[in-house]
Amino acid sequence: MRLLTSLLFLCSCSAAVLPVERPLILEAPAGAWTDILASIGVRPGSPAGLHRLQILVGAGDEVVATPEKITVRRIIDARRPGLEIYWDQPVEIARFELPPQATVFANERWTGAPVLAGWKDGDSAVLWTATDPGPKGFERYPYLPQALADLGIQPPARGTHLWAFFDSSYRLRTDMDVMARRWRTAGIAAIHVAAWHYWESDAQRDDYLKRLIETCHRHAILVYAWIELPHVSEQFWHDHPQWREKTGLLGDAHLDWRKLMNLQNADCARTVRTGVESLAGRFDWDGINLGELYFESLEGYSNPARFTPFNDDVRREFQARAGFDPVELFSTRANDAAPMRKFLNFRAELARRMQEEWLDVLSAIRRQSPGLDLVLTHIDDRFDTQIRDLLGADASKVLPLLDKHDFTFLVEDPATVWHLGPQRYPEIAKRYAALTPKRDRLAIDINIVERYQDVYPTKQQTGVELFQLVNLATRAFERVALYFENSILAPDVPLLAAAAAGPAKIIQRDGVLTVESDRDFLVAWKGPALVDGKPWPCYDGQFVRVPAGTHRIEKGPEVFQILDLNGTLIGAEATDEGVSIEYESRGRAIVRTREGIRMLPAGRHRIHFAAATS
Amino acid sequence: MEQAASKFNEGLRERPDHPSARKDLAYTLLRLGETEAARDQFGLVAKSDSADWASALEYGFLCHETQQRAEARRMFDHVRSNGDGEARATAEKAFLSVDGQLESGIKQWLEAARKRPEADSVHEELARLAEERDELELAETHYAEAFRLKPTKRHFLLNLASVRERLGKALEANAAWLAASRSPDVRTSERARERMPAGEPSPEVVRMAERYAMVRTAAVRKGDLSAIDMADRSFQLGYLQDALRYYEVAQEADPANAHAQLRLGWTNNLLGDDRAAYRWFAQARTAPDKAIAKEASKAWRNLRETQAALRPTLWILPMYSTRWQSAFAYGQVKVEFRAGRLPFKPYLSLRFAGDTGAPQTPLPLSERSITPAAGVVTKPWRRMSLWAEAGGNIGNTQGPDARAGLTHAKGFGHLLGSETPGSFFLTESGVNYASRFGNNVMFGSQNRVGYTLGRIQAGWLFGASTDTQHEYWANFIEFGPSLRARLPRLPDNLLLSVELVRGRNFFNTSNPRKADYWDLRLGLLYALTY
Repeated sequence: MRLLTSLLFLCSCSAAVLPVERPLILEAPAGAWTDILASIGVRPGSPAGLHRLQILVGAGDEVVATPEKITVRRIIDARRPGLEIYWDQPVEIARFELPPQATVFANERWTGAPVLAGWKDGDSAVLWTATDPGPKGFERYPYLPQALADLGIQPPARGTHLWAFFDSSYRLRTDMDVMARRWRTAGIAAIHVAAWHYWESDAQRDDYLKRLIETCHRHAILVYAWIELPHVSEQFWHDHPQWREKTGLLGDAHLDWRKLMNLQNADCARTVRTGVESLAGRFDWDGINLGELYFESLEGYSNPARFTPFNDDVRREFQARAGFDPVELFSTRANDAAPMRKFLNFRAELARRMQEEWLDVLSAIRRQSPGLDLVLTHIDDRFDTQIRDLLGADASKVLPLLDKHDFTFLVEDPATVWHLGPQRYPEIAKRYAALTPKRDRLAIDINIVERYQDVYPTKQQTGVELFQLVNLATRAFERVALYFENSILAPDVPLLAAAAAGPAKIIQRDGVLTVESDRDFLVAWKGPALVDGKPWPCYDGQFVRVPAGTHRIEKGPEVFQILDLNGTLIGAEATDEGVSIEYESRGRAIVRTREGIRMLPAGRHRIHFAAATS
Repeated sequence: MEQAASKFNEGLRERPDHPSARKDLAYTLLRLGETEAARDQFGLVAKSDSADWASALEYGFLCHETQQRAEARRMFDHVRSNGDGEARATAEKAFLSVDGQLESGIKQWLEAARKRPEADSVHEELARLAEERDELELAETHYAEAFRLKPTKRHFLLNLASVRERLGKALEANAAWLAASRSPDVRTSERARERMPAGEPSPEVVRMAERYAMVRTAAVRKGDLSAIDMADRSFQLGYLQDALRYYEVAQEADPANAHAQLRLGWTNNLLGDDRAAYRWFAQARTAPDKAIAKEASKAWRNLRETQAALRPTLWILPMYSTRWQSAFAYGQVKVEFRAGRLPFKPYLSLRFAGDTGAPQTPLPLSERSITPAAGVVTKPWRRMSLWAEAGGNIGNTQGPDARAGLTHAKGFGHLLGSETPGSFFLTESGVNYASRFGNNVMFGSQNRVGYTLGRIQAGWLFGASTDTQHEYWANFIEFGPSLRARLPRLPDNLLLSVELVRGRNFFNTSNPRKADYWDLRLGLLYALTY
């Protein structure tokens, strides 16, 4: 057996009284194992479902290396056999023989040789891998956390504040209750619904959306209208060909799925504004997300077939300023950098102006609907500095708008840096923190999609990589959004909330949990509890919700239950008269008890629930 | 609902031909949001019952929802041509919608390709739409053009192969699969392997596949931005995996590209693959560009110690000592063997020591013999190495013996060969054991401090030595001026050494001379490592 380095060992194991479990002892060789576990909030010394976890790499006590050699380039994971998992650097290994009690989780593609397996023995388990997992932990076996969960690992904490984008065209026949329950279990607090499908009033579609919003609220999930101007709607594009945006080749700007309109045209802008007001008024939204309001494309001016805006209004305005038609940038002025620079600067200023104008429109709508939260989704141009020239997006010009408007600035990491791995999020956070004192208004949007770069082991983030992304992003930002709920692969859903728990520390001693975090979160705890010595109402039987700070949790009496809260929990109290909770929320909040849900006003409030109602 | 899906699955394992159970499973999966799984189940139902137009339509719509537009279009086309009343009408509407979007997209991108024929992404977009609309010749043309424009994007070969296969162009398709399977990018090569026909490709296919490599060569030579520029940019930004791939493409396209060879060396070295790095440096050191050759040679020599299978070294030191009134000659030929990840390397050695015949020269100073030996030496750690050897003796009658030692050498400041003048400090120490001399263990240290001026180093020497047997010749301290120089017009590995020392032996039991001594030593060291 290989020499094992024990990373962190047991505390005293005196607390065997339920619901407290024995803390986890991890025996693992050097490598990224602690990072892999940390991505789902599991740390040695904390309760995690198993008492002892041994990681075995290569040959060991019960694993025999045969003389046969195989080269691993691709593996097949049994939990998702269709997923293409490639190793960037092929590795030659022996073919291993496993003990009969082993469950094989993944095999080499061509020989079927096992590469990932595990076996259990009471409250101990062995996870075996044919090679080390790679320096970052996700280079070879994406579904290590899921394999650990199969072996009995249970993350001790969950986050509850994720946002997720939602496009109903992928989910029209999915049962809404199933969907909403799954979202909430995954830690999703709000969905941002692709609202362009509902731009024009239509009885059937409107009914669907109203039912969706009701269902989400019932599961304590907020619903935002996500608009993608200058794309308005399919119908709008067909009805108003005269207002279509143009590319550098003067073709209609139908780029990928988006059909862009000319918002510089006063008539078009007026009609779109009426549409936004109608959309906001027809449904019980909790917020509006103004997404990606700038120009195309990520290829910049090197591909004029995708380069916007070249509508008549923009060309006229630029010509009046610069003295030439910007179309000449791709003909007579193609080889001159100075005119293009002039246009790129003009274009960035135009994008900022649009963003300000449309934030004004949304703020006016909010005045009619207090409690409506506003979000501006804006691609990062600090980490990838080409973005200003590619899309016209300039965060440094938009962030000062936070002084005038109250909104969340949701940073979208650009496709150009998707391949850089999870560590980019703390770095992005640092760069934006330098731009605004309102750091609590900054949020990050993680794109979970197939990346165009040559990335490994999977094209789309899944398993360890996804959990590391979510975990690190949660630590770096107040709010994390996922694009989009339908692209999250099924094996990832059960562990997503654990990854979103943030920097929670959980220490167990003598039947008592001491928990510490800079934000509120759910800690695994069976039954009612005392928190800091007082009866605690925020529990659902499996988890206890605790506010930010350091708290002590121990067994407690049953009291009126606050089953769920969509908002930040500040404090809670249970007395003979009933229970009260203090919360804070940018928009409306939702509280769920056994009697149903209650919509709560935005801001910081204390709410009382009389004992008689329990 | 999850339980229902699980029960349906169980039942279908028993009776996979049960269409209504499969359909119920498909609808359950739909309600659970498992759209892809539901699509596949409807696909199976539609396949097993060609008259089930409702399932065929469901399959079509779900293909569309899951981004399989081409399959959706085909299914709608099939149902609108063959289905019954209501299904036919629904399929007709769906087909026209999907087909209309593809048609207008193709028109838009054809126009863009006419205006910007040099943009690979325009050809790619057009080819994809054409492929989805089953306009395979159009798709083939534009995938081929996209690949010609951007040969670093080898996944175009997969698209090309797939389209050609559907066109019935088996030879051309197999050639594209084969070329893609040789891609350094694992994803492309593995995807190609999945689709390639079994068995050895025919010579014709191999010849055709090689043409794709020629396309890449032509593009890189023409100065296409791609490979070498992308590689340099990636290297500078620290994206080493990307840099590696691009340099490999550039090198494959132009095998004589010494810059790519050198950078392949550095990239592999930085990625920890010294074996590959050593190979690339070896190629680059023969480059006609002197700067590249020099840099590569230096890097190659640095890696040689760990990478070469055999590492021969030779050193010779003739010298004269006024104290012993004799000339001495020492030398060694040694061959070290690479030992993979072992912490030590085995070696074979042939040592020589002789003198001009001073009668009172102690034996350890001149064994007057040739000593063959086999031994091991550890890889340096903090400039220390342990060594041990056993061997025989030719030239005297001492017989076999064993020796071992620990050596340490470290220099500070401007050592010999420094580009700028300045002061230096050099310390060289060792502990040596020899069974032949009564299992004696000797410790010695020589330290030099002084000033280096180009090829000359002048300074002060301080030496000390002691041993466990209290031999007079092994127990002394000495100090004095020292001069070392690389002689003009002679190779750098030839070193002249002149030392004048004042010393004192502090055990003198069998010392035939006075305890205090002066010694002027002149030596010429020649060392060579290959």
